[in-house]
Amino acid sequence: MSSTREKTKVRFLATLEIARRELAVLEYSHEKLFSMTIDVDWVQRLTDDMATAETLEAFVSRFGRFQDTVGDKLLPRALMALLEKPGPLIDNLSRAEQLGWIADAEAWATARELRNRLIHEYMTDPDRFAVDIHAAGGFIGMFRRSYACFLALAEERFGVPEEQLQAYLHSPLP
Amino acid sequence: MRLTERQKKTIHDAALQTFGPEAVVRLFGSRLDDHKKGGDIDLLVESPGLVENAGLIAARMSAKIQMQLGERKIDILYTWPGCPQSPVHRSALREGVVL
Repeated sequence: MSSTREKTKVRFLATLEIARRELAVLEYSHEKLFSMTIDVDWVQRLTDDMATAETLEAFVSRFGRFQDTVGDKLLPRALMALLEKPGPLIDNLSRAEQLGWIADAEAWATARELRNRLIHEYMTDPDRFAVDIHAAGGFIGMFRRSYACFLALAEERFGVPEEQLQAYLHSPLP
Repeated sequence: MRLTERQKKTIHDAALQTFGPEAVVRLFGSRLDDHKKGGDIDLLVESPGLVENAGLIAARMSAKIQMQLGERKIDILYTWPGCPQSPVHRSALREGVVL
């Protein structure tokens, strides 16, 4: 394998390991957050309940970070690992849908927009925030399925199973 | 107004597909000013009745527009009769231009 091909492979696998870790902590925050009853009263109590507010902030932040990693890094690097040329985010999402890595490009773009709304509404609009946080929670299954598709790519294309991904995170680029 | 006919149609169609056929979408903010350049696309969608999960629906509308027009910053506010309105909502209702 040429050094460029090896480099794109390593970058893809290292980014997949980051996505794996980010999904694991997102799932933790998701489970912890949604074990509570989230409504307008709950949102309004957050100013006095710093521990719960931290749980919420962890979820919102991890919800965004996983999407950024997959959309802005993993997806372009997966395309490069297949010798394709990545383009703008929306084009990459459409291509990922064609390749079967994500089920619905528009749903990914929706999750991204929802994340922007959450950040804005958190301090200003408890009514809307309480509803939107539930909607955000509904995207976790889509994230999980998409991660599984990228993992399948790593396994099938490069013969690298999940437990070996971490070896690529700090591996020097060829 | 600094939107092309195609952009206007895409936004209008996305509003009706997501908020329902009776939705009305208005453009407000800096895109109404022909002398400015670029900037966010600020929209207000009015529905005839309460919309469940309106934030998710607004996010879906924005996603639909971007799938057609490419990634851009789109801010979508929504309202319906009886929905609490901020000063931004009121000014958008007053000054916004129906697409």
